[in-house]
Amino acid sequence: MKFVLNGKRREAGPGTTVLEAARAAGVDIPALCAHEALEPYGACRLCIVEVREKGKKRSRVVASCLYPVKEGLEVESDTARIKKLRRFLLELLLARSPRSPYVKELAAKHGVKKARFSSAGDDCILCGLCVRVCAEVVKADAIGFSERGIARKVDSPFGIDHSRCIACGACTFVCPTGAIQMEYARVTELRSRGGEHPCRYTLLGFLPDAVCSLNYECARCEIDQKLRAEAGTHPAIARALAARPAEASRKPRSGAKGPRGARASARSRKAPRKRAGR
Amino acid sequence: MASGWEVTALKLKKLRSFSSLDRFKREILAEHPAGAPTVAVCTDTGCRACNSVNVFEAFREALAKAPEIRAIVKATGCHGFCEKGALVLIHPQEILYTQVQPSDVPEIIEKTLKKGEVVERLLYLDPATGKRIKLESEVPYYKPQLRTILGGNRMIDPSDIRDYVAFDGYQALRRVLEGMKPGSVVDTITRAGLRGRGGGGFPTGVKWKTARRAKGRKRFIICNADEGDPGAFMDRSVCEGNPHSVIEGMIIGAYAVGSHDGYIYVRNEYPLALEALTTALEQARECGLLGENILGSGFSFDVTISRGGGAFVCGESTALMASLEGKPGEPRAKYVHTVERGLFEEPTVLNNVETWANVPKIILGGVDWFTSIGTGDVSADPWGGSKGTKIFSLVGKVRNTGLVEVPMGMTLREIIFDIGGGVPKGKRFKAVQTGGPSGGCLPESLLDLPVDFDRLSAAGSMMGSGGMIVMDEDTCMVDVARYFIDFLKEESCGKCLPCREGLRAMLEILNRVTEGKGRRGDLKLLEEIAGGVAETSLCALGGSAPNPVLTTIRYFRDEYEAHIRDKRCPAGVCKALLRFEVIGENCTGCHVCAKVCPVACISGKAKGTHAIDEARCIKCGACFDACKFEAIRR
Amino acid sequence: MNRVDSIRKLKETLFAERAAEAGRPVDPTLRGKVAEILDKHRRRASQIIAILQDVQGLFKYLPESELRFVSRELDIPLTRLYSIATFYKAFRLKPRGRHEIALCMGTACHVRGAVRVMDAIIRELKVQPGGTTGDMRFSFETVRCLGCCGQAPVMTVDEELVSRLDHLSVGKALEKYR
Repeated sequence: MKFVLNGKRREAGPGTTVLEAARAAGVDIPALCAHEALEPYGACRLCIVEVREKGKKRSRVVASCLYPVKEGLEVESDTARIKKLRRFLLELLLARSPRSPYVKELAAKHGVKKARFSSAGDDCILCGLCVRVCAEVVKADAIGFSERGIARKVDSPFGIDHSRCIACGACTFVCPTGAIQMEYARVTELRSRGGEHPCRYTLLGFLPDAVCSLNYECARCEIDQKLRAEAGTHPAIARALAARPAEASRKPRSGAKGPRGARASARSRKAPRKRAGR
Repeated sequence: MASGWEVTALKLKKLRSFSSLDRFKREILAEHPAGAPTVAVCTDTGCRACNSVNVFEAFREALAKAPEIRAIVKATGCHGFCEKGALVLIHPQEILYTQVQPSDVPEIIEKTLKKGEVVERLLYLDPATGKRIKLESEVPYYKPQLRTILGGNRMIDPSDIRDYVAFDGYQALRRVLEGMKPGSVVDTITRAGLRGRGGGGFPTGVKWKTARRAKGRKRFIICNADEGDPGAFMDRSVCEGNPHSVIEGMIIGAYAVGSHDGYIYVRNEYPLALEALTTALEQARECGLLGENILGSGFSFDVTISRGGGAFVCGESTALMASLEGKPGEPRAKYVHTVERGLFEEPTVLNNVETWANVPKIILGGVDWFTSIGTGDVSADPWGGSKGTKIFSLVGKVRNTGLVEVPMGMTLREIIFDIGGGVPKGKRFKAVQTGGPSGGCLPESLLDLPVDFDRLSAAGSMMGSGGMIVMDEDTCMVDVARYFIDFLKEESCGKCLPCREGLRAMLEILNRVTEGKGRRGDLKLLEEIAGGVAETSLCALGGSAPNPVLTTIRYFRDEYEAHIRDKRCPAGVCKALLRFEVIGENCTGCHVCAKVCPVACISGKAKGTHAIDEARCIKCGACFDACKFEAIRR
Repeated sequence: MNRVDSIRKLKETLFAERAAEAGRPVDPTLRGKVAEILDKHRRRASQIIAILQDVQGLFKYLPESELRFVSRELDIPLTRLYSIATFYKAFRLKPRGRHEIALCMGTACHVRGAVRVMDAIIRELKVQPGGTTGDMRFSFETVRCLGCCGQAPVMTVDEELVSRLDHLSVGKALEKYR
């Protein structure tokens, strides 16, 4: 399909979203809740662009992570209107999570220094990456959203039941702000059981039968290090990406965010987090 | 609730051909001829609150004991004039009795049914002329109306399909199945210019045409009965009063589009509508009008009823479908329309209750008849006009509250003043809110706007699903804006950032303003946030959220400024800005205020000047309302 | 045994105790009725909202034990049931009072003074919206539009609709339930 992106003519295969096409063309569109290994969600709205369909007079503001490329589509990702709306969204985000370094950095990058409304002071930005990775990739369904509206939050059932969590750390891995940490209660519980401690990679299905001898300090675990080094990312995510059919060409790019495991990471937060690809 | 069908030999049976439907209708009319004496008691939820069920029971008992009168009594759906409930309509004379109590029943039977005389005191009293009016059609409330859809409620017992069949029920379906191809049905609906009555106003025929062409393994038909707009109860009344009209419309639509599975999604808060629809579906199945091989035509279709879970957002089509799929009601982007990929990823046609109810009327009445009602021209462009009638719920500070059905294009003034009787208690009209939380407030200067899909949008509001809430001088427009944003914030699904956080930010500002803590620049900030939320939200809840705020700022800016600059609420509503005090010289010491005060903060001796303890005053305004000597100042 | 099964088995052994504790039925005699509800809806996951509504009809709220039962029987993760139960306001996860008061706060009722009526109820019964009185006699909640706008302000107490309320008459209307 032929379409126009920021004035230049481009091509894209069927079923491609505007965001995917833009990334392939090297155009940077910020997207908070989008992830290669996950179905597009469209919640953060930061990936908005202006599109004009062939034959239509007016352009619309749409979320590029979900909008499919069509023949003759015109896309503009950096108009004044988009820039203003993006700043508006980032201001709302900053109002929600004023303390998060990630949010502050992202907002500053687009010219937003402070919010004109009160802060909720919640590091969780409700991007849904943790819930979605748990449901789609790990398939444990250990955490989910509860309530709705401004009360919406990420929770395990009844707030206390972690029984489905296998302590794989994928949620912590994908969380941009560090708001979710692998359930310490869960880890503690697993530790406190006498008897077998299955390795979390066994639970994920990578190893047939391994028992954790390090009391769930996965950062010290050789298996963990080896699997991550090989995959370049969290192993569960790497497997999900590899399982995708016609996208074998897409590999997680270098500079991918490292894991933030149960151990407080000494890895500096000064290095800019590359959100594109993982 | 039974009707005159209780004692009858005529049972429901499966109708396997078109001629058997005709035969059935003849048999029904033989038992209960159309012009037979009938007492129609409105037992819609609203009139039930006025004891109408007991009125019905009183009639039933009395008439059972007096078979010589040869009249039957029916419990029908909403007659529309809710202000004067409980309503009783006597056929065939078409006499309307208002505010009927069970104790009035013997007199009605004696005088009207036996002797053909009227019971004067129960007739509607026209405040303009001081005269009592006998005929329903002469009552000023009804005269300008054109009750195409609601008219059925005057004489149909919704709990019995036989009544519906007697009044041309399922004749449209018969015509369609017997002599029309699906494409031709779509064509008819398109040329008639029917547009979605749920608020979107999308041309129904165009929607059906797209669904017919869409690729999928099966197609779904959905009736959206999740009427969430506060102040709107049209769909509830149609579902309760004439459920078969909706079902018939759905079967015709299913045939047109090629669907065999239908859903009706009913709001959880409407138990009677749910019951009425469930009974109607069962009876339709019994008669072979739903299910396999309808009327022997070879076409099969059936309907499942689903209850909502208490979420306004589920009135949005994609959220509704998510709910039907057993998930939380989170909308999704509609870049691929639901007619192409909707329920369970299949092509889906979703239409509103009132839209479905219009379908059989169009089939029977014809395109020329339908297009003769309403505004504009749809011969070249289905968006070119607003055809047919629209039911509005006229409520709030208006004398005659109730449901009103008028041709599209009638002006706000005609609806509110000619039909509605204007604002009661001598108060001044201030604004009318249309379109629910997606709409806006329009001031007096715009009262001559015709009401249709397009004209109100130009002014910043919208017709929406038909809610029309009248407000008077005692309504604070800033409070109204705050009310709507609070509502939307509660009902937001919370998935997308702008709606969730933006509404919270807007509410924060509006709360400050109504509490007297408004700041300079608040209005501008409010407008900015409103604009951002509208443009970036995922669905129409956020997308239309700014309308109440922006219209009130546009047309009632002075009220906002009074709150922000002067810390004053001109309408006397915002509690934090109110102060109640006794005006010494007017106080007669009658002590009435102290008696009604819920917190007993008014002190004073008999015949002495009273005083309000401000520290304990909760600003409820009871004393202000009670004082007859204007001795309390607000 | 394939991977999915072995994982599931491992989880079951790990989590058996906690689940057993929370899974003890609130009223064992009603458990059979819950199973009937599942059968009535042909055990279809897409019918989960209707199923939960029927279960709530039995207990007047959704007990954790019954949610766990439904989760096991229909193989729907408890997380998802919890999402649904907290998203839709028709569901309650805590027991309710003997009489349920639902006060309409729709636009028409608001304009006709519903806020004053709400304040009166809060004062009289000493209960906030969403709460239950200490003696478990009343549960009070506000709802958006009961569809009786012609008789605004309105409230329902259990099945009964009370209309044309004001802050003075609401106390009297509640008298007969005390």
